Parts: sequence; C-alpha cells; structure tokens
Amino acid sequence: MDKVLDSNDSIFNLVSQYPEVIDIMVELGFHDIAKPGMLQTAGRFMTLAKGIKLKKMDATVVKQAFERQGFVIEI
Amino acid sequence: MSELINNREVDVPEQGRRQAMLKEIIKELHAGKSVEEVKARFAEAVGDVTVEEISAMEHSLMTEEGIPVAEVQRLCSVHTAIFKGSIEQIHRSSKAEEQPGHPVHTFKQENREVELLVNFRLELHAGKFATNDSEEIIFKLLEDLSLLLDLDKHYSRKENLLFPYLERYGIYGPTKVMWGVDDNIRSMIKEAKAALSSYTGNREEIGSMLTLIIQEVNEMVYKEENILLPMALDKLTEDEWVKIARESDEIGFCLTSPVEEWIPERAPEPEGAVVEETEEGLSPQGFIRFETGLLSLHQLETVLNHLPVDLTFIDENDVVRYFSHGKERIFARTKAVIGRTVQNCHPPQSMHVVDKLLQDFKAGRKDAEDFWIAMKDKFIYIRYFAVRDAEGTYMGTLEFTQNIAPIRALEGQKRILSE
Repeated sequence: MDKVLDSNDSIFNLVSQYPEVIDIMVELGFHDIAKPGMLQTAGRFMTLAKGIKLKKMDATVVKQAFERQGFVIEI
Repeated sequence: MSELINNREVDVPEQGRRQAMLKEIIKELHAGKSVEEVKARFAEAVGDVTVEEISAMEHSLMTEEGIPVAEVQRLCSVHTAIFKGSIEQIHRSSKAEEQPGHPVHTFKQENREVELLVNFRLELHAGKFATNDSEEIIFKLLEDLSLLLDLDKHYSRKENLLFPYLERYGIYGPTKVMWGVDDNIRSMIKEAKAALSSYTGNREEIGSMLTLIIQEVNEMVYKEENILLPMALDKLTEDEWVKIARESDEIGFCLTSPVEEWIPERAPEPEGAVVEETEEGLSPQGFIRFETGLLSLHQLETVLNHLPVDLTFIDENDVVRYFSHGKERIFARTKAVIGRTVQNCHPPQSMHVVDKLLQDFKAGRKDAEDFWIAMKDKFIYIRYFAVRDAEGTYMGTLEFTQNIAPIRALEGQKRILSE
C-alpha cells in the first residue's frame, strides 16, 4: 500500500507518521530540520509545501525523491 | 462605546437576541439595503453595542452563514459607518497580536517596511547598477544598504527579547539557527557596503552580493512570520508579551516604530504590582552590610549605575545575574537576559571565544582577559575578570565594558577646575 503524504500537513505530523521522511528531507537539502529541537518546534508550524517555497526547490524533484522511497505526495 | 458598557451585566439570552438582530441587519446590508436605511433600524433596535459583539457577529457571519472572509472585510467600512467606531476599534478585540504596539504587530510592521526597501528600492537600484555603475547609482545603493542596516534592531529585539522567552519553554534549536542566519545577513550587508564604498569595478561580484541579500532578507521575513511568530504566539503568555513590549524601546525599532503602547484588554495591574519579587525576602527598602560600610539597596543601585562603565555579572553556572544600567550602555542589555545562560546571550559565531575564556577562568588558568575594539567614535575596552572568593573558588565572571576614547585622548595635565 502506498504511503500518502499531504504537503500541507505539518512536518512534525508527517515525521511522526513516517520517521523516514526526515532522512529524505535532509537528503533534499532541508538540513535545518535535523537540528535539535527543530522538529518539535518549527516543525509543528512548517509544512513541506512551505519549505519547498522557502527553499525555492523544484516541486517535481521533491516529488520524485519521495516517490523513490515509496511515498505518494501531492504538492 | 465598549468602555461604557459592562459586558457582564448583559445577561446571556439578551446577548443572543442582540446577536441575532445584528446579524439580520448585516444580512440586509449585504442584500443591498442602504446604510441610511439600516442605520435607523439599528439604532432603534439595538442601541449600544460592544466591539466584542461586532467581532462575534462578523465571526458567525463567516462560519455560520458562509459569507467569505473577503466579503466581510470589504463590508467592514460599512459596518464601521453603522457602528460609529473606527475599524481599529472593531478589530481591536479580535486578536491581541493584531493590535498596534503588540510585539508581533511591531515585528510584522517592520517587515512590511523592510520588504518595501528591499523589494522596491534596493531591487530597482541593483537592477540599474547591473547596466550602469555610475557614482549616482552607487550612492543610492549605499543609502539603501545603510537604511537596511536598521534591521539590526529588529534582529536584536528578536534575539535578546523574544528568544529568551522561547528558551524558557525549551525552544533552543530554531532560535540558535535563526540567530546564525541573522548574523550572516548583518555581515553580508556590511560587506556589500564596504565593497561599494571602495568600488573597484567588481560589478558582477557586488551584483550577486545584492541579489543574495535581497533573497536572504525576504526568506527571513517569511521564516519569522510563518514559523517563529506563530510558535511564539503559541507559547508565550500575555504577561510575557507585555514585558517584551515594554523592553523593546531599549533596543529600538527598524524603519518604523509602534504608534502606540499596547494595552492588553484585561484588568489593569494593581498599584505596585510592577515591583519585582525580591530574592530571599530582602525588601527593596533593605540595607546591605558590607565589610566596609552600609548602603541601602537604592543607594547601591544608583551608585553602580553612575559608574562610567557597564557591568554584567554571570554566576558560577554561567547564568546572567546582574547588569548595571548607566545612561549610555555600549552593548544593549535587556532584563530578559537575567536568568539566562551566557551561551544564549552571545551570537553563535563568538560563542567559542566566550566558552574558552570561561573554561580558563574556571580551571584557574587565567584571572582576567581584555579585548578592545574601535567602533565609530568609540574605543571600547572590554575586560573580563574571574571573580573568586577568599579561598579561590570561582564565583563567576564580571564583564567590565568602558568607552575609553575620551581617556585615550587626554594629553598634558589639568590641575585647576574648568569654568
């Protein structure tokens, strides 16, 4: 069964559901999220969609990276 | 209006009836009746109305009647005409952070000014500079960057007033990371300024510096408003916001300043409540007995604040315990730093210097260390002393900062009183 992510859900929620999300994010360049305390604080307000916008990332690249790990994601 | 009515005296069914009536009137307005028509009916039916009631009504129009937010906002001016109050007054009670003078309101207001400066002026001048590096354009860019340096105050308030409270709630990581980025932005602006003032034709290099500044400043605005401020609003109590608002003047504001003092809507503080709780039951009127004399707390404090130096004392656990408050502090300190560890009061970049020094002091390798910096017209002499008791046990560190420019400028001698 596919693991579905909502890019407008908080990163904290996504990671609590699927811990591997954090590794994929770091690999994509979201380094700050791995720093101590980030997930429990900023992560509660940050969403994947906002992060992509902030870091001016290519949504397709992000999508593909998640798909390779078996996630379906709507951006 | 609201101050004339004591809300609690209106019983609940009465309030519900008024709400329903208000809603009816507003719906008629939306349906196209003229303001004059409704106004008369309104006055007759309801009489006085509180700001809270209008907010509640607007809210229920949106949630229950499905009237879009934008529509309600558009009709605000009409509501205002009817209810005679100002829009500010109507919206005042909705959310504290949207009221002028609330620290979040001020931060956002500053961000709007910063955006204007960065995205219009700086962007425009940087664009012109790409094709024309005349002195005039360079001067304009220098002017923009100098204005932008005002960001320092915005960032300082964030770092020295807001972060300490977040740390009390266990939020360290994001604040540290953000502080690092703030410092980066500050130094980028300074670097670009320096490069422009001694322009050597390195147009592309400066161009990319400017692009980076614009990008980073915008990102910081986004991060503040989407992450930091919502997080802070979630954690901090109203009392804490009041403290932040009160101490904000100390550091100053960026490109704009709050138009009014924020007074939260609640019971006023009782007289004398401002007096901070005193430690170990020592009253503020108390006396302190020294080996060499006796001073009242008031005398001691006033004396310390008259020393032409800035003092800060951290205890053996690196916690800031005290700072003196003379007329012109060289480095801003706010009461929020008291009780905070020194590691959280210094920019991450200079932290290793502070850590090393404290280690040396604690290990007894050093008793003092001096630094000196030239800063504009000041020459700042910063001295650190390990404070030890008679047995030599480390009790803490005293920071002693002084502007010695006037002292360095002394020449010859002076033996008589000047007129």
